[in-house]
Amino acid sequence: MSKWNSVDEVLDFAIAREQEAVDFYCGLAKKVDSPALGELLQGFADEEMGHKEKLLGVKAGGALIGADTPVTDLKMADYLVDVEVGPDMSLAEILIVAMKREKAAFKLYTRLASMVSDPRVRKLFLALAQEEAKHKLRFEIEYDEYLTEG
Amino acid sequence: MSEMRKTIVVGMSSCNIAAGAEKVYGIIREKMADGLDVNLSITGCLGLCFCEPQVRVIDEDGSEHLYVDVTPERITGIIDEHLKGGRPIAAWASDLNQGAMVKLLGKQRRIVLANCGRINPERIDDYLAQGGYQALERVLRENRPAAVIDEVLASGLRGRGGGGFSTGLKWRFAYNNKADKKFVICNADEGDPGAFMDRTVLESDPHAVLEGMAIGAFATGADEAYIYCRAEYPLAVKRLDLAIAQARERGLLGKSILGTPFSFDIHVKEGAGAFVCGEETALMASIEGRRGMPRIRPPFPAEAGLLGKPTTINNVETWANIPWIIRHGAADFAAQGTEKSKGSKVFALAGKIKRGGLVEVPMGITLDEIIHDIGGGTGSKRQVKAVQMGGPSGGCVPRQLFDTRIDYDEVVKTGAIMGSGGMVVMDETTCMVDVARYFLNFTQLESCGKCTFCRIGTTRMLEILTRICHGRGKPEDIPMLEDLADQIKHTSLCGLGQTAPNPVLTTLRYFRDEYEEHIHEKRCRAGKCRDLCSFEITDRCVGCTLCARNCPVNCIAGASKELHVIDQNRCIRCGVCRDVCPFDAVAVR
Amino acid sequence: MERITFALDGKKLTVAKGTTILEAARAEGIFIPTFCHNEKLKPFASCFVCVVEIAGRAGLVPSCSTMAAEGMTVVTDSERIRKARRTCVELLLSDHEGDCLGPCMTTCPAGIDIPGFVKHLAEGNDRAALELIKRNMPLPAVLGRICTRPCEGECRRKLVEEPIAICQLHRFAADRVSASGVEYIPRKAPSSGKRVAVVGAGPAGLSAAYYLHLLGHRCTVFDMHEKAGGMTRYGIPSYRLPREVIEREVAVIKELGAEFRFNTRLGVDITLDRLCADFDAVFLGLGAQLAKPMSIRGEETEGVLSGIGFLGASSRDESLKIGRRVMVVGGGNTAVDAARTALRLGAGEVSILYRRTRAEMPAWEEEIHAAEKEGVRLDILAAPVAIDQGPDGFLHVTCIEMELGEPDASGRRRPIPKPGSEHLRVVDNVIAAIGQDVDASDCSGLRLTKWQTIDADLHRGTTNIDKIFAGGDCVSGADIAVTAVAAGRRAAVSIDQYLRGEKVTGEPVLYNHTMGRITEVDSRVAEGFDKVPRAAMPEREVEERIRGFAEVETGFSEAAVRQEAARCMECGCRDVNECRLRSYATEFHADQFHYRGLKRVYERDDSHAEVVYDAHKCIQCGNCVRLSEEILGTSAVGFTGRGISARVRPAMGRPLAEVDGKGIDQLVENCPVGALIRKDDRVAALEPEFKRPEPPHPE
Repeated sequence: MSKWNSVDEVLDFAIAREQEAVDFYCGLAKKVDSPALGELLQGFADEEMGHKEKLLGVKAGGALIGADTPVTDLKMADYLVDVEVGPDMSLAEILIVAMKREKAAFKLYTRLASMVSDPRVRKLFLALAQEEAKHKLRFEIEYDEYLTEG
Repeated sequence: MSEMRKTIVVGMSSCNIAAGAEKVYGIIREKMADGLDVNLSITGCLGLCFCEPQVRVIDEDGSEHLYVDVTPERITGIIDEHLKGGRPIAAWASDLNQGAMVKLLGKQRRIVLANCGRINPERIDDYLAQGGYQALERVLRENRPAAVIDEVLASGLRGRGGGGFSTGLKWRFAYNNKADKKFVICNADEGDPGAFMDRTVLESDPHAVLEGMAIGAFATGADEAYIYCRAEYPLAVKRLDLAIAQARERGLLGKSILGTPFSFDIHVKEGAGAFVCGEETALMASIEGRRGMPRIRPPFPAEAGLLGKPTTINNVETWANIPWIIRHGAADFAAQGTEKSKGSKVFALAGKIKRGGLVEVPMGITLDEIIHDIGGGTGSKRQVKAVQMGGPSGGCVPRQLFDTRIDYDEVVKTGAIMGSGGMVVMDETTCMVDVARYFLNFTQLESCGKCTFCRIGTTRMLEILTRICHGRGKPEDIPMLEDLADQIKHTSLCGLGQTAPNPVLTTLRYFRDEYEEHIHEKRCRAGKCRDLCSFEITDRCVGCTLCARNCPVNCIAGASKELHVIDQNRCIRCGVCRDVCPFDAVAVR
Repeated sequence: MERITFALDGKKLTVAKGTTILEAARAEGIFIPTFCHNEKLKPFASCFVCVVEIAGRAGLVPSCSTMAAEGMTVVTDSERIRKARRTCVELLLSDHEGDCLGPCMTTCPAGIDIPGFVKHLAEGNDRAALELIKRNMPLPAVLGRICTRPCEGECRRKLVEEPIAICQLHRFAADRVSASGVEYIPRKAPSSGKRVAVVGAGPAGLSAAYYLHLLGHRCTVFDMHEKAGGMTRYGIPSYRLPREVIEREVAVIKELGAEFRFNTRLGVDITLDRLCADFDAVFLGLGAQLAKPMSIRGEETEGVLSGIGFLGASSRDESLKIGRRVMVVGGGNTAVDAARTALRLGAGEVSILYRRTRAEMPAWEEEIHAAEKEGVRLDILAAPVAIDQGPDGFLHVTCIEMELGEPDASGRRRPIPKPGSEHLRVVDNVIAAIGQDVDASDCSGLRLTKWQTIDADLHRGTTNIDKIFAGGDCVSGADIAVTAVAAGRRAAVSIDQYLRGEKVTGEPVLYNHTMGRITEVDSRVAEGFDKVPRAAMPEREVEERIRGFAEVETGFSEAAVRQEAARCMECGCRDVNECRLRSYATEFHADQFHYRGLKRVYERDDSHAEVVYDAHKCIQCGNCVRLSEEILGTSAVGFTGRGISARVRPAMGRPLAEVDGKGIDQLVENCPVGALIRKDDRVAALEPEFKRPEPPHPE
């Protein structure tokens, strides 16, 4: 695949993806009935916005350093059923949606990394994948807390 | 004193004795038994404690030679060469009119210490020969107590024990309180670490104190007195007992003194060694045989003091000023000093100072003059960092404030207090957090345990300081220290509690960055806090081996004339290597 | 007599010369705290809690020993004064060792006066014991069987051998009184004429109704089920909690005047708006009724049940059919109850599948053990990932093995599936018991949390709507019954305040000093107690019990109860209601741990025939020392040591026993804390009567 020729292109792609996430959570926040869950989703959106700003910072010359140690994968997203997005979602369902989104992003970046030849670009994709894995872990941990008795 | 013989006078104060004066004295006695024909006498402390023992030889013609740092070997030499041979040894003598001694003595103004190291404190005649007891005689003949009080008031004399309250006013209160019985008390419960002014005066010129007390008793209408002296001062107690006995013998104490109707006697009470007993209400409780715990004032001692009777309490130095004031007049006394602080003040210089000892300086002199001109600075390449004034109740004055004048009110502005006169000089190797901890530890241990804020509050502060020194300080510790300090200061019964936070407050005020380094960077720049530092030998090392030889755990390796290395695993961070290194080659990391 | 005039809190006062500020203030009814002041003694000024401000003075002065002077202006209350007083109290607390209340009592969510009721039981006074229990918790027969008894975890007797069987003792008290035929019906306050709707007849709702009646209000209790008890009935099998026990305690609440409307569901049969319109206040004790979904494929397959659904059904019909092989998923009490119930309904092979290890199972250890004894197999570190209806008609459950990962930032080791470890298990039924969620969807207008629980104040039970209060699982999320009972009682107090038009502050919170958790306590507290084993609860044999739903635990004999109750160490301070340190700590909102550091160690001198001296509680006020000197004319006790090590001790280092008995009562009486107490004083933290709490006021 020759699409990825420069680091900047990769970053533009990633930035656009983060913006999509912002839009997704914002949209969902407006949709849900529960104000508390709305706030939570708005919080997710703000976090994604933070990720986007981080990437903009990288584009402006900062460094994106991937985690040294692999991020723990609790693999919850692998086994939980897909949730239908709707206004009466519970916290648990929102967490499932979120962790699955992050999982997809992680997979996307990992796959892209395997497809490019420029080592700098590959490194960047892997670092982005790590970032997404971290986000996923955060949601998985919250879900695990929810399953106190299970 | 025979004109035919030389006289040799040995300094026999606690400080001289600690330096080896008894051995010197013994050697002279032995030689006299072997036929050496001299007059042997003793005297007290001259204040030059950095070069003791001292021996003064007075030739037949009256010329004097002061020998310093007199070792047993030197005294043998002095006996052979000077006493027997008539050839003074200039190299061992100190010429008080030359060099550093001029700086040292020239800036001093000796009122209280005038006789110290000059007369024999164990002979009343020596004191009388200096005009002693003339002041008492005069006030008794004139028989106008109110006039005596006016004179003391006019002199501007303020209490030398710390607070700086007008002595004349204090006397007047006691005078105005009519009672069948009144007391005077001499507070000689000197307890500040590093302070020894009272001890020296009591050991070197006890009669000055007795005379001052007799005058005070006469002026206020008291007929009985106590000297509350630390039991740790056996020599002072011995000389006081001797002086009292001699004064009684001469009719200067006891019934109908000098044939007048005035009767007055003095008891010496040995304190149990509790610092808090220096607080006047606790001191009186202790004399009464009760636990030395302060009580609230009012009533003040001048209204209801010892056994409920009007009582005048002054400290040793204050009493010792009285005879001079009566003899020379208030105007002479008031002629020196600042607007509100008159006369002179005795200080005990200790710590990182070249010429440590007792000095008596005119009020108004600057701290810099005392520390650098008189004391000669640190005596090392290091700079003076601060001076701790007023002991555990006082504070640390930083170098940049050394232009502060010796004046009760000026000193208070720095956050320290004049105190009884302890001055501990600190250099760059002193950690200011550690200093605060040291003094707070002292007050915490010495708290009588009565009041909540002092008993528990100072302990909690001490625990925080200890934590900081051990590298376990937390950012919230500084505000907590400040808050506790402020509350203890304003919510304590006695001076001990009210002033206990001062060392912490002043070090926080002037050396906050050191606290912050300890807490945030886990670093002690002074190399004092063992958990926060390590020592390393730099390439300035010339391989003199001094550090290796002084290391208590033998963890410094290196051959002569080669760069030495410290084994960090075995190093206990005592800092001895740095202290002994002549080349400043040991660095703190 | 000479008189002087001065200003006290802005008021001109003329008093005799020599009057202290404290005396003048007291005569005016102005509160000034003090420990060391005593009218009989000379002023001392040691505690410094009595400080006041005098115009023109930089520091604060102790009012107990400062005389009012002509023209003086004194202020006795200000921000600065309160701060100094709080600091004073906090400093004293930092050097004070002891427990105000027994750790059992402070650990109990309902705050039952455990040492008090246990003492009654030891003395054979079962009714008094029950009255004291019901002061805080109206369902002792129910909770005496099912409570997870956090109290016993902190029982100091553990330092000797084993904890007191607190929970089973209160079951005995309740069963005993019921068996007597005369139930305890507490006295009610005069009727207020107000009516309260209670939604939910579970532990929270029943408790709220009980206490609301005692406070003079009438309740109507609505519940969607056909009977009262909530989760205790529909979530706990009858072999643990026979249904007549629930009925017995509900009957008392009915007797108090509560009306019950069953089969009435919020949002269906009644609405919150309607309740608000018809009643003066509403309490919501909805519980956590919704089974958490496993969110795995095939969860909807026939034969997959939820834990509470299954327990509810079996509690309605004890002849319910269940398959031969039953797999229960989850590690909580519901999972264990479901497994044991399945056995009783005839299942032959019952296993519990749990993601973590046995140590992490939230279920009560005794229950897990009983389940294993009955033949339930524990299948740990395993989880289902999919369920299919097999061609054979059975459920094909794909399971995966788990392992615990590295501890994360929170210190938890989380289960992670082992790739490739998937395997198939064939069962008749799967019971998913991984917890419950709150369903508050029918509470429109109420603010909910992100967990969908009702956003209510945990202490007061207040919600965003003044009139509506809530408590129990619907606020806290699924929790133990005793917590819900406590929430119901606290809400009743708040509702009472609301109904009377007062500020809703909830139950007063009193200061409690603690020696710490059982793991931190000085082992010396356990000295002098002989080892006596804990009474064992008699149980039915396994063969007998799995054949039906007869109660497994059959209850203590009277002899066992008296002996067990006598094991109580009577922790807690006997001076708890008179102690001024506690009173001021409450008044000034003091924190025991604001200042931490070296403190007194446990040091009890019980050598005296009548009196105990707990030096670790002494605050050095000096009252006893001065009383000895000034009034009794002895030097029985005196101060020793300096600084933080200063102590009050019998003179000459003698034990207290040698102190002249003369006036010892006076010393005890004048001790402002519980350092000197009479041995015949009993532990009495609470009065048995439940009354409207008076606002705490010092002294």
